[in-house]
Amino acid sequence: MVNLVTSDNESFTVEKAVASRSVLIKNMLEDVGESDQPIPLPNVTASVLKKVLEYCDHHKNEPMPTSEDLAAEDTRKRTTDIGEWDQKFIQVDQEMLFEIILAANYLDIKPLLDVGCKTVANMIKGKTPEEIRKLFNIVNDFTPEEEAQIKKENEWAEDR
Amino acid sequence: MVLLAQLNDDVLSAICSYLMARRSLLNLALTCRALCSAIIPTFLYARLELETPYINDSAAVRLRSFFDAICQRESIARAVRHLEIPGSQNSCLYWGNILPRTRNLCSLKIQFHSPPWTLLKGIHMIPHLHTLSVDDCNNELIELLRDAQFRNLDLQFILHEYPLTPDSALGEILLRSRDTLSELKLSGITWCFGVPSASSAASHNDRDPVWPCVTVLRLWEVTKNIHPLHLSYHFPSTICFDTRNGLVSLDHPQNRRFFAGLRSLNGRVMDFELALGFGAMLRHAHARTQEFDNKTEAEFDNLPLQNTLHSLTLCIEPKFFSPFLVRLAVTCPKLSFLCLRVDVMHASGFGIVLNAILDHLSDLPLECLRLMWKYVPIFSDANAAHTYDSSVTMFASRAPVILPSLRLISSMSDPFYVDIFGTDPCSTHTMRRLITARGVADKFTPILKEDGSDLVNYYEWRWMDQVEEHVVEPS
Repeated sequence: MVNLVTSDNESFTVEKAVASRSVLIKNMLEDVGESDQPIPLPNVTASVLKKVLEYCDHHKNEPMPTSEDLAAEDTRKRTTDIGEWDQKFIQVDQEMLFEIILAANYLDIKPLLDVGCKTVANMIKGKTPEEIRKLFNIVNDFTPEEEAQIKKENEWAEDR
Repeated sequence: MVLLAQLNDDVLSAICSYLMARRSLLNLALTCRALCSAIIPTFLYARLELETPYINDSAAVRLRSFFDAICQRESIARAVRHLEIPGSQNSCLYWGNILPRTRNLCSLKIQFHSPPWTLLKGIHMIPHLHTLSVDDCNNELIELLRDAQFRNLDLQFILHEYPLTPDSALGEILLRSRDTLSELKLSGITWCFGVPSASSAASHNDRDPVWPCVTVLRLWEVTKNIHPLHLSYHFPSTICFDTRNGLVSLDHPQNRRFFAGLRSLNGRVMDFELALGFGAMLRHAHARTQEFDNKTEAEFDNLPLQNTLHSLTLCIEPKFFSPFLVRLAVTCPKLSFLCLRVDVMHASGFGIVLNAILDHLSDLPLECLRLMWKYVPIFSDANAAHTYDSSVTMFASRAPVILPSLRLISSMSDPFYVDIFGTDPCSTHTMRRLITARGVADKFTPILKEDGSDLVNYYEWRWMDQVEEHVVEPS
């Protein structure tokens, strides 16, 4: 078992196979060897880690992505589809969605990072700039002239 | 609270990589300055993809802003990674000037015939190019690339057959790319690579014509010189094979190992008979049943269907439809992707075909159904479009109960027919069952056009990411 301590000082004891879905933790465990020392995760809160561990537990028996898999991503067509369990798992509010993405990036859990990023990309697709601003609470700091200029310079991109 | 505009570069890069439509990227960039400077030029200018190889004059004019930006700003020229050059003779002149400026270009696709020399001569000046696709290749271009090394090559020689000898320019390129090439697609060549004799085979050297990393191989219009083509020797790792020759010319015991290792085959019915006879356990099949001649029932009876198939694409006529589906349901219990290109003579055929699917395929774990209709409206078929739309709507309303595993329906005119007859009577319907926190929705919902082909592609090739079941050979 592995003991993980979050930024808000909560402790989680999980199976090694679950914790090792994180490449960061897996490497730490390999470096340190067998130890009872808790692993501090200063960038992750308890509520987020609980969600991340739920994901890791569900996928603990799946093969880890290899360097060949990652290299093949360059050549294979990317898809934004997400498995059904993952789609249900990622139905969270926007704040939690971004927290999960940042945690997956920090903990180096590539499949979870992909699920989060695909979800954000799917939220953006088909929306106008104004709709995207509203959805993600983005403040428009362009002048109308600047916005028109950017559109004009990149007119070709409106075709597809 | 974390905001989208505050995400780090790695995460923003991952999100942008899933925005395939450049309009989505542009709209995101137009939301605020921070996202604009992060997305333009790095992501927006990274890929220029086209829906069709030919573009009209107004689209060609709009592309001028792309050319101008590359010419005016070095940072934009450096951002370009993948280009698809459209078939527009006017714009070809610009491309010839632009290619040498795109120093980081990795992937280039030229889809039209007779590309001008001014364009082709720019290709050899791109230092990092590893993926090249040319629909109408010629000797002069290949000579310029003699020293290049590639990961993916797709070359079609249309006017003159290319003699692929070890000393030819393409032979040199292939030998130089022995350890990097993963996808090889060739058309219009004469294969002149031999196999070393048994005595010299013991000592491997870097001139051995073996491509150990090629997993995807397409050979169209390939003739052999003196020796039979020894696929097992040249391509020991290939799992996806696409052939237009007909595999009879490859029917040699020495190719048994090659065919036994295949998991995906795109070919004619006779090719499937041969591959399965050699022990292939296919998970993906694209059967090119004859598309212009009258198909016979025997052709569908003989189509070798395997219980290992997850993904199947073929052309079929309604008169053979029901018996074929009955056989399919019994023979292919793992089938999750089915693409049918269906000939329909009258508008009433839409409903007949869709009802037959509901009647016969309820036991299959189908997740994606793609229908491409080969239908040309006739004089008396004024309401064909309405009949088509209502048939698809009826199907989508009944499918969640009868085909509970089905998640995606795509129905459209066969693009090949649209090109030939210039008519598109079957509008595109792409629908999926959405997933909510409560589970799978109980009805189909139309989805964005930009997602349609992406999702179909996902279901067609998903078997590649799934662990292969261990198959016990019958004793």
